[in-house]
Amino acid sequence: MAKLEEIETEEHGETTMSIKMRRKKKKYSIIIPTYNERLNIALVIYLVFKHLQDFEFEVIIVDDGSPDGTQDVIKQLQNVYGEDRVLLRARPKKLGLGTAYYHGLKHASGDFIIIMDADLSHHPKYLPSFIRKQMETGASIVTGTRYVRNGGVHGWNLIRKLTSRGANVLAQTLLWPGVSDLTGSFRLYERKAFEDIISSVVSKGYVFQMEMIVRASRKGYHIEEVPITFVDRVYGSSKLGGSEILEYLKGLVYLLITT
Amino acid sequence: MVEKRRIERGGEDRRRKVSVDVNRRCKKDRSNSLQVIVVLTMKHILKIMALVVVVAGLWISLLQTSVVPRSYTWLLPVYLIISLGCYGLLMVGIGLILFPTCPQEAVLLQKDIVEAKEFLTSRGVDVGSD
Repeated sequence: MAKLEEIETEEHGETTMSIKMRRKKKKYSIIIPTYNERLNIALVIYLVFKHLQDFEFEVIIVDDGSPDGTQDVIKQLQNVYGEDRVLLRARPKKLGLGTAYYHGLKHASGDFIIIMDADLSHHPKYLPSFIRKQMETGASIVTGTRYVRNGGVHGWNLIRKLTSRGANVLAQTLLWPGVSDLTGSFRLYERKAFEDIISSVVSKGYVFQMEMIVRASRKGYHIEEVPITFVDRVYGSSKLGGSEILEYLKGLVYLLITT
Repeated sequence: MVEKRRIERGGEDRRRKVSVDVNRRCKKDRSNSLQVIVVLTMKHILKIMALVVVVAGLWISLLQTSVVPRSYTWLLPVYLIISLGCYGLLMVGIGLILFPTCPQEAVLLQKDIVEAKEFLTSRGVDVGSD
C-alpha cells in the first residue's frame, strides 16, 4: 500500500487534490491491456466515454508494445479526451495479462478498479450496471457473467459452447467457487481488494482471471454478479488457441492444490 | 499358555505406552488440529479428499456390517462413478440447451461501431479499418 501510494505521488503531482475529490465522488480506474488493438481500442474508449458520462473515471491503457500503431491511436485519443482521462502506460514488449493489470494498478488513482478487454467483446454499456450493483450491495467485487438470464454469448460455434460448458461444470464441481463465470474478464474491484488479491495470484494469461476470482472467494470477499453479453471479436483474430484447454486443466489442478 | 500370556502382557504394555503417548501428544494434537483446520480452510483439495475419505468410510462400514448384501455393496462405488459422470453430462447438456445467446447484441454493436467511427474520424482519430 505505502509503496503504491508513493508511486502515485511520484506519478501524479496533484495527489492532494485528487484526495479531496475522492471524498466527494468515487473514482473508477478502467484498466485495459492491449496488444494490436488499434481499431478496437478507439471504439471502446468512445463507448466508455459515452456510457460513463455521470461518473468520474480514467482509462488506463497498458499496451505491450503493439507493432500495429495502437499507441499512436491512443495518443490521438488523448488529444480528444484529455491526457488525464486516457492514460497510456505502455510496456516495451509482451509481458502477459496478469502483470499488465498490476502495471496498470500502479498508475491508477481510482477508488475502484475496472478491468475489461479491448476487443469489443465487452461492451462499455454495461459499466453503469457494474457501478450501480456495487453501490447497492457494497460488494468488494462485481463480476460480469455470461451464463445467466439477460447475459449471453454471440458468435460461438457448438464446439466452443461445449468446451465452455464442460470447463465450467468441471470447475464448479471441483472448486465450488460460488461464481457462475470464472474466466470472465469484465470485472469491478474495490481498489484494496484488487491490491490484496493480485498480490497472491501467480497465474498468467487465461488462468489469471480464474485464479483472481477463486482466491477472492476463498478470502471471503463479497462478490456480486451482473449479466453481460459477449460478442466474439469483430476485428482482429481471436487469441484462443488449442493449447488453452490444457492450460485450463493445469490451472484447475493448481487452484485445487493451492487454494 | 505362557506364550499367550506374554503376548497379552506385551499387548497391555503397548497399550499403556500408547495411552501415555496419547496423553503426551494431546497438547501437540490441539495445536495440530488447529493447523488442520487452517489447512482445511486453505487447501481445497483437502476438503475434497476429506469428502472422499468419509464416503469411503461409509462404504467400508457398510461392507463390514453387511446390512445390505455384500454383492450390492461392492458395486456401490461403480454406481457412484457412473452417477457422477451422468451428473456431469447432464449439467453440460442442460448448459448447452439453455446456453444464452444474444444475436441482437451483435447488431447493436455494429450500430455503435458506425457511430463511434463517425465521431472519431470527425475528431481526427485514425480509425481506418485494416
